[in-house]
Parts: sequence; structure tokens; C-alpha cells
Amino acid sequence: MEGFLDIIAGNLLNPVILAFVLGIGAGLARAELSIPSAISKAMSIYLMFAIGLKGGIAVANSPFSMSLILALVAGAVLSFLVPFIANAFLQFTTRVDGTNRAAIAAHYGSISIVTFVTATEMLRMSGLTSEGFMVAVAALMETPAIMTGIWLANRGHGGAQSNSGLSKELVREVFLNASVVVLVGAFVIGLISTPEASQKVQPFFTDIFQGVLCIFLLDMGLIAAARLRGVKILSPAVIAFGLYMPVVGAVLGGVAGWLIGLSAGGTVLLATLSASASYIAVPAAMRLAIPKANPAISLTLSLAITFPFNVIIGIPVYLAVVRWLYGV
Amino acid sequence: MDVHPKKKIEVMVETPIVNKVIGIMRDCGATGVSVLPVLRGEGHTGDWSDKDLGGAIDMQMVMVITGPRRAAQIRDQVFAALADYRAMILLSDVEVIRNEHF
Repeated sequence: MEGFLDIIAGNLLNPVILAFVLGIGAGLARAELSIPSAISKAMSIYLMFAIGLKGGIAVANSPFSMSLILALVAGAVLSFLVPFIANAFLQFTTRVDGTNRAAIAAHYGSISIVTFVTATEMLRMSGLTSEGFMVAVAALMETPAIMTGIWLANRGHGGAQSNSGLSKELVREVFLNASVVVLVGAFVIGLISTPEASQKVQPFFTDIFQGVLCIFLLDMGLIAAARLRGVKILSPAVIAFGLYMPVVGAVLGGVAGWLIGLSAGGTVLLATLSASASYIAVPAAMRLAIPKANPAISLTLSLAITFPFNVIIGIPVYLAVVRWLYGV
Repeated sequence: MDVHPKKKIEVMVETPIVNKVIGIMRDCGATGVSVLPVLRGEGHTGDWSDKDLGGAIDMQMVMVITGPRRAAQIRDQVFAALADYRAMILLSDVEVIRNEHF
């Protein structure tokens, strides 16, 4: 048990997490600190491209395995099913109405790519490796939850809660949002590039990656703190959901990873993906698909409660638990 | 110099709906549309800021200048389309110099 706690403490004292904590603290203290939104968006594209490229190169350098197919199926199933579980928890523990429950459930079935990137970096720093194709699993898990969320919203309402008139915009938002395009695009680039050519871009996408991630998480801390100021719209039961739902998701993802035979690192990543909640792709899709849902509720919950929980407590614990169980 | 009376419509609306609003303006025959950033704000529906990475709750301003009849058509159709969204629709009288552009 002492070793387990040491692993958690070691994971917490990490510049990536500490930068995020600094951002939250500075934001809550209303410090005169802000990062221009254009730079934030550029950093997010850099991080997604780097992680996609690394995944593609890793898959290109390893033989095809059945694990890839199993991981993709597991990711898709988790993304489809987690919203049903989230919806049931909300229905029985909170007073959130059906429309907002559906929107929140979609956020929790989908994933946070920043949480995934943070988990990937923490894995690297702890000396664990993971399957390169987990990037493809992350990209795949973005969208099935949106379909479940729309179905949940329409169930019992005869379709009145969704906005079918905006289907073209919705399809574009779901399949061509920045996360999916950059992750999948960079993954394919890494997959088909020659090793010599990939080597040439490595200094940009590898050597400075951790530094960029620190600054990006500093900014994410500021953004989360700003959203945290609006937390009064959430009841204690809804806030509690934002804290226990990632643990439920992590258990489901961890068990799925173990069942399909992923490595310890891959299991941590699948647990983290399943534990995370979207605050980039899904909120925009929900505005198009379920306009009657209040975005302030779902976004505050995923960004101000679940995201900080996962980065500060969740990932170090998921990592420590998997290492302990796998004995690595 | 001659000036010509026109109507200016400004629609501040959630970013995911901006393309829908532009489409309505084009369908009504508007010859030009401008989209302006909104840095941050707050109102009875909460606050918003351009720091929202996904753009779900940040706002943008869509501006069009056109003749009075077309302006009324755009106003009515945009209002109907935005029933479920946070939005502010402003109409004002303006004067333009190059009449043929509007």
C-alpha cells in the first residue's frame, strides 16, 4: 500500500499537473494572467497533431495485431454505452430534466483529448509504454456518444428535442471537428511517412512537447477556473456526479482494456478515455442537435469538475492502480 | 456626396449557429455579410468568452447591410431560426455611399 501511495505522490509532483494547478489557482485568485485564445487554439492543434503523428509512427513500426481491432471495438462500445449509464445515474440521483440529462450523458460518453494527452505524457514520464493505436481509439470514441445523446433526448419526445433542420451542420461538426481531423490526419501521416522523413520533424513534435503541454494546461487551468465561478448553477448531486462518473468510466475502461489484453499503459489510456468528458467537440454538437439543453450545465460539469478531477487526481490514481494490478 | 438610407442588422449569436444565420441572410438575397469576434460578455443566460475552445458557448456577431424590405425578411427568418438559442438581434438605420453594393 505504501508503494501504491508513493506512485500517486510521484505522479502528482509532475510539472504538467503542477502547471494546471497553477492555472486554476491563478484563475480563482483572478490574477492578471491570460493567454490569447488564438495561441491556445494553436497549442491544442500542435498537441493533437503531435500525439496523432506519434501514434501513426508507432503503428507503422509494429506488426498488425488483433489488439487494434479489439481496442477500436471496445472504444466504440464504451462510447455508445457510457451515456446510458450516465443518464441512469443522473435520473436516479439528480433532478436534471431529460433533455439536459441526454446532453450531459453525451459529454461523458465522448472523450477529452487534452485529458488523453496528459495521460500519455504521464505514462511516458512513469516509464510505461502503450500501444500506438490508442490515438485511433481516442478519435473513434469522440462521436458514438453524440448519437446516443441525441437518441436519449428524442426518446419519449417524438423527436421534438432534437433539431433535424440542422443535420448538415451537425454531421460536419461530428465528423469534421478539429479534434477528429487533426488526430486522424496526423495518425495517417505518421502511418504512411517514411522513417527518414518522420525523423526530420521529430525535434518539433517530440522535444518541446512537454513544455507546450505545460503552458497549455496552465491555460486550461485558467479556463476551468473561469467556468468554476459559474458552478452555482449545479446542485450538489450534479457536482457529485461529475466526480464519481469518471471513476465509473475508468473502471469500465480499465476492465475492457484488461479483457482485450492491452498492455498496462494501454489499459491506463482506455480507462482515462472512458473516464474523461468532452468539452470541445460534444458541446458544439449538442448546441446543434439538442438546442433546448442548457450548455452551461454540461460544459461547467465536464470542464470545471470532471476535467480537473481527472488531471489532478484521476490519472495519477488510474495509473497507480493499473501499475499495482499489472505489477509493473 | 450622395448617401443612401439602408438597414443594418447585427445578430450576436452562439458560434455553432453562425453558418445557419449566414445561410438565411444569403437565401434572402443579402449581397455581403461580415462576421465579427465577440471577446466576452454576460447576460441573463450566463456568461460567454472567446476562450471556449470548442466554441459551443462563445458568441460571434454577424452583420449585414441591406434595403428595408430585405432587412424585414432577414429579421423575421433569423428570429424564427434562433428561438432556442442565445442571441441578440439589432436593427438600425444607416447611410451608405456606394448604393450598388447593398
